[in-house]
Amino acid sequence: MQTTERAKRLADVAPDVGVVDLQGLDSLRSRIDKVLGVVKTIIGVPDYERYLKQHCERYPDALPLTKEEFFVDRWKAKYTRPGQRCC
Amino acid sequence: MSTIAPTPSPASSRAPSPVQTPPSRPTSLVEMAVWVLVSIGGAGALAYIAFARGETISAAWLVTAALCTYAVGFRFYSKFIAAKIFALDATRMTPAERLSDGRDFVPTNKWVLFGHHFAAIAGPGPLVGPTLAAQFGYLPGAIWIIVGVVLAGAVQDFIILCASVRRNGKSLGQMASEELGTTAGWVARFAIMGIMVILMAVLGVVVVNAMAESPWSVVTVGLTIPIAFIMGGYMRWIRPHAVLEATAIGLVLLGVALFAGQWVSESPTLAPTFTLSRLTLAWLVMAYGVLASVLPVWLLLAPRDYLSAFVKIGVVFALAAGILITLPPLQMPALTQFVDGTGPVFPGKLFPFAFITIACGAISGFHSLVSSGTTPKLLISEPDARFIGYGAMLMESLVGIMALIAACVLTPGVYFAINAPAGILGTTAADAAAAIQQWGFVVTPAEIEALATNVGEGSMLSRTGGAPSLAVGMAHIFSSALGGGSMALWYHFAIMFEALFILTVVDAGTRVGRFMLQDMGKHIWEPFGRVSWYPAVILSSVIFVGMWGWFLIGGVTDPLGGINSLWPLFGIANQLLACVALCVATTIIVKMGKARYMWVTILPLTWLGTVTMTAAWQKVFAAAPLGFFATATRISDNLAAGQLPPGATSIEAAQRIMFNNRLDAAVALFFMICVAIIIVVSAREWFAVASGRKPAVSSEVPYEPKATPAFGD
Repeated sequence: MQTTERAKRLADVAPDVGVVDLQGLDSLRSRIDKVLGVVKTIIGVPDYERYLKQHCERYPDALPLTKEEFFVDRWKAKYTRPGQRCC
Repeated sequence: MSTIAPTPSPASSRAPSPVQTPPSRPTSLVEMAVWVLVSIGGAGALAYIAFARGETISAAWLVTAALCTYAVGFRFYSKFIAAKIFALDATRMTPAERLSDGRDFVPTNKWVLFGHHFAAIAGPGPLVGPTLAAQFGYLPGAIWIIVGVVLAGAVQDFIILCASVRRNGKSLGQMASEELGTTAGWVARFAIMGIMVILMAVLGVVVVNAMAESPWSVVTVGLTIPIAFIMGGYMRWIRPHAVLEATAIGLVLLGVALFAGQWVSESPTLAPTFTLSRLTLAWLVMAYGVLASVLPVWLLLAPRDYLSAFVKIGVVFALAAGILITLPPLQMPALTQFVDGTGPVFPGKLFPFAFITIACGAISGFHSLVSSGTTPKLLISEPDARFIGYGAMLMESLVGIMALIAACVLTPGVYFAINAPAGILGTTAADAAAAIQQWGFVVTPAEIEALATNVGEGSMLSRTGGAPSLAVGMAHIFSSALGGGSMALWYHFAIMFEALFILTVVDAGTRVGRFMLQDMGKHIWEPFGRVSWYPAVILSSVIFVGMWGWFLIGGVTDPLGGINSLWPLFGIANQLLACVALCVATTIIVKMGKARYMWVTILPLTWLGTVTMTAAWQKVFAAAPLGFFATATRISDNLAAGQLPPGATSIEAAQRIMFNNRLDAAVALFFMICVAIIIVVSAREWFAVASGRKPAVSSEVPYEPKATPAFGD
């Protein structure tokens, strides 16, 4: 049960697996994705994909948070204690 | 390692790691020559701005002085601190790797982390402070920002970051408790709370003053709230988590809001509806604070934050580009006569008040919370702490320099017309021009009126708080960089940018303050601490907003405009927190067995301690209008003599002003006592270690080698 659930969540992260690989387009797309990823991190968007990857590497047996749970958890950390923003 | 501690602590006398940091290669002659040139360039530019008199100088001198000084400071001083005090080690495991959980602890590329850290530390502080301090002329502000950041601000941020990285990302409060004992920990916690209250209030005054009697600003800024709702809804129901799409939509809507504001301001029927008084706006800002604290985060706070971070970084770069393209001449003299303490923007002499007014940009205690908050948990490689801790602060300092330039491109007459309170200038352009001419600056009533028409406002007189004059300066720079014109649009764009920025601090700060209050309050009444029980949530939000709202209302009803009394109080509070951070940093250095380098933090601590204590003392005990107690006494004398003090409309109002002055004095005293306690407790600790009564034991997490070598990311 847990394993299939995890597989499903992983499939959300990498939906492109198995799709026909159009070399040039893909490298352009991945480059754009990389830039957009940097922008997102800088403006403070929590990175669920990375969390999932690290979670699965570290705790292969534990069920990760869903995307919703993860965002709620991050916002809680961000808006409950000082140290996230300054004057 | 070449630096062996005299009294090796268990943490630093670790087994040698398998891979040592490679010894730095010898500096080549060419490199040396370049650094000599950079140093000469910096010193030359500084000397020029210090001694040039008589004519206007180009902003290029300020930018050159800043950039060269930053480069030298970063290359030599931060490297010295990194090597001699912490011996930052690329082979040492950081908390991001040790505790990696994808949530709090996430190894993050150093460039991305730099951007993230910069976005977190850069707030309205470095924009407003230098603008207000421009009443002394450009020189004091420029020197304090440039020298202060290299020797104080960046040092604080960097050392606290290193200390926290070596302690698994502990917060400043935790480190204070651990290094200095629980008393200091509690003092630090109360001080943080006090600073938050004053910060929210003073930012509230700034934003209220920027929007008062201006339908265009009210509509444009007000629309940013529904824009956040739209973004939040889009990310929740239409395209879940498509943050960048939502942000792009938000940016387009901001543009629409800008034009909607213009349309309303030109409509004879709608404009009066949105022309709001300062008092009304203060209540609206407070209602917004409660709303932000109570509503779910996804609906308001998170989308606003994304939008604001985006706009913030964009505008900072645009301003830098604008200044570099136009290199405007500075109209403000190097020094004005107001260094003697008679300044209209805020009272008090150059020393200590220039150093209180400009906190962020030179040194900001608040940064120590960020440096010991998220950033240490994301750092991959120890030596990068230098680039992120020291480097990002240099960048913020540059923002401060840009704000100073934007304020000083205005002619002094215009600057004082916008920034001096009505209680001093009078309420008509003719009165104001006469008052300003008495100070020796040239301005005509027609010029003051033309300025208002030019930026699309009814009046620009006494728009205190720094935001409007900064917006005029920015509009001037943007407009001339693009070939002139559209001043009104640029002005309101700048106002929108500042308000977005400030309200993002107010809303998130209120929520954080609410949680801190609930955390403290649960010791008295348990249910109060329940964070998802609506009665407790609403009650604690209203209490916290009430705390800063009291000062906000006091500020907007003050005949001298509020900024006058609240901004120095905020500066004192912020510098006080810097004192706490520097005390903790010094203690950590001493306990590492590196007491011979403690001057690195003692130097800024001594300066800040002196400045903060002198300023607070004067604010409490000096004669009116500087001292709070004296001002209160003067009002009570007035009332006793049966007359109303200038600016007060009723006896009740006068009594309220009197009470607020006493309250401000009490707050300043409270901050002074906090600093005194922390300094005494810390000094006792240093002497105990220095005299050998206490062993120098560092509380660092012992050395562990990195699992993955830290090359690239």
